Amino acid sequence: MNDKQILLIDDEETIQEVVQVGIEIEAGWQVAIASSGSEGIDLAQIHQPDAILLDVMMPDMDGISTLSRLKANVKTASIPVIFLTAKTQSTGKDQLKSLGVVDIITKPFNSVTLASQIAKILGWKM
Amino acid sequence: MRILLIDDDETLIDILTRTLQEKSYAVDVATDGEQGWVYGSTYNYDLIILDWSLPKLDGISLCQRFRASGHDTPIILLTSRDGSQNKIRGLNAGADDYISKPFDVDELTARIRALLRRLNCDFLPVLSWGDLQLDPCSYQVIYQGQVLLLAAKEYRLLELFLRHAQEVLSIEDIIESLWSSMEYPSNATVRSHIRHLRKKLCLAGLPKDIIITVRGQGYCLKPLSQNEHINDNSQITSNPPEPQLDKHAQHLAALTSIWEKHHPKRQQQLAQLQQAITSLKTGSLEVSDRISAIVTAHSLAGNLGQFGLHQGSRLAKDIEQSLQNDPSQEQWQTLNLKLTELSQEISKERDITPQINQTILANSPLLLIVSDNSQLNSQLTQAATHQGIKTEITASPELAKTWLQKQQDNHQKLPQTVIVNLSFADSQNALRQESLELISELKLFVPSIPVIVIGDRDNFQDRLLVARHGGSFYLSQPVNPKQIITLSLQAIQCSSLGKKIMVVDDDIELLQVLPTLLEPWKFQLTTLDDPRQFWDVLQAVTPDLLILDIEMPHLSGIELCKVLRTHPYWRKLPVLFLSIYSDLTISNQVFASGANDLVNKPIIPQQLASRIINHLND
Repeated sequence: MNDKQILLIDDEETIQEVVQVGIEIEAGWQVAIASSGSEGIDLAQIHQPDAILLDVMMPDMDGISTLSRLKANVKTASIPVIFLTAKTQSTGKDQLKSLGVVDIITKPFNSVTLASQIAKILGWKM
Repeated sequence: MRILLIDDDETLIDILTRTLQEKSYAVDVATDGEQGWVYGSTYNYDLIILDWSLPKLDGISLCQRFRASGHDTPIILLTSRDGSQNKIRGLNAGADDYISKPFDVDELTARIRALLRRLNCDFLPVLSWGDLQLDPCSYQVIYQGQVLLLAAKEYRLLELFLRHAQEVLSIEDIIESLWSSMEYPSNATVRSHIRHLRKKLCLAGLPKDIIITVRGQGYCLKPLSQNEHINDNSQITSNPPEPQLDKHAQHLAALTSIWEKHHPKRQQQLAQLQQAITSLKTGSLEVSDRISAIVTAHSLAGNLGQFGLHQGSRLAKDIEQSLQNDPSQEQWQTLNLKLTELSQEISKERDITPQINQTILANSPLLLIVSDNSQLNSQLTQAATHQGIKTEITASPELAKTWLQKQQDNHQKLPQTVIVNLSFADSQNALRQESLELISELKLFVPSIPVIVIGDRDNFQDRLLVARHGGSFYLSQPVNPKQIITLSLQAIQCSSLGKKIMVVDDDIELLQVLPTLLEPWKFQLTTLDDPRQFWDVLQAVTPDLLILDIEMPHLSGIELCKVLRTHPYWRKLPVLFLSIYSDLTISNQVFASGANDLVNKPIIPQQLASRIINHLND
């Protein structure tokens, strides 16, 4: 099960590194990183990752707009997306889920259990 | 290595592309001779695989055209035309090798390697950098005897750097070598792969800066130092490699390093907030600066929370909130106080490691140590932390009981395992008795908590006493703390938590009540009342253990078990039967069908759970 590839779309360098460390050490999956929504859409088309972790609050193109563009593109529409969101985010969990994400992971998250959390959401074996 | 495949057979293209990509080659495909000419004369390839029969321009003519125009890229000609005359024709046209269809893909890849080796003097069989070795034949990367697991792109990156050890490679160079011309990776993607590779090399014990960033130019391999040359030549016996750090220690070290790396950024963010507050004080805070400060405070709050600095995170959130509400000039003082407090919180954490450790251990298994030996406790705690296990220490059985009581009252986490340090040699009978009582109490928990007893002597009577009270393991001194923790880890892993149990029984009432009865053990139960759906559900659930009823309509449990045992994958799945009969004949039939156990109805939850756990741990 170490052949999974996750695409993380988050503008925060620290979060990028923490996610990468957590997933690679704990699950051995590859993590591709995009620092903006538009870069994420490009990488999703190229890499065809097994799942996308998408930050909701990003400058320029936020997570919700990025999600709608990913879902509108035939090449990326079927890739499962999990939102990463801060606890204090004004948009409710149910509201976010109704946009078509498989689930929501709240920041701060435990980097040790992040991979197993993703696996559980997506029904992957670890 | 980049290969151009010129062939019009889609099936072959599909097979070859996949195989070559698996072998870490970047592959471009052209489906006719003219397209092949355009690709081959435009891009640089390490090798061309060329089919003889092609639309527009045949392989022989294309091969001649390449050679006539000075292209010396090695060419392997593929053809269904057998016979030496055709082979000679192909080689005369300028091909370097010739392979007849149908061919074995492995033979083709072996020929590719052989051809590259033959034609390129620089193509060494094994590439190395000190003790780091990359074998292009086996696709294996080894450092000091340890095999490194690299993803395909990381492997190819490393191979590229090793092949061009003296050169600075730009991102464009890397893209051209590692990606096909149909792929357009961004610079960020390349950087991300380099970051992955660096990290894996670093975790294996190689220097952090083995791949150097040459600002404005690209990347290059660090020149080998004298020391590393010496190791390479094995003139001096090098120190044995450090044992590979366990996952927890790796994780902790990586997070600590991320925290430290971003120290300047945090200082900059604090300064930016200070600037915004100063502007607010003087009434000169522009909207754009306020928005920028909101983003900064948001970022700080998120990052501090991620590293477990919750108080700091809360303060940053407060500042973010206040700035969002367009604060009045008078509010600068409140904001300033919060910022000062925030700076203090951040500066408190000069050594973040314990804080991070606590954060990442938050969901870890808990081990209770009952011992008054402070040296042993400290060694056990250290060894446990390395395995990602949290510890709680109580100096006596009495204190342990009080602590356990508190955990239960507060519905907090109970330990998954308990270690009791017990003295049989000295005369403190009361203390020994208290310890044994504690062990008995832990056995009564639902589910019971395994106890590892560390005794000060090895004596059958002592073992018997511990076993009678329900102790799971008895270790006699001297014993290595690491061994004790390894045993604790095994005990934790044996826990029933999340184990998948599939139950097939036509008794719907039983199926309804079973999840409640077994709830304390936190199994993941799947129930099925129609045995005809057995096979589909089994494949979908992939249980860790199967419970079958004997008599069911359409198919009996015994039949299901027999079917199960015919399948190589399911041969070893533990199967437990439920029966209302205590008949010896039926019992024989059950075991003859391949069952592991037989439990009589009505079910006693504790007994069923114990039998399940026993078989799960077999």
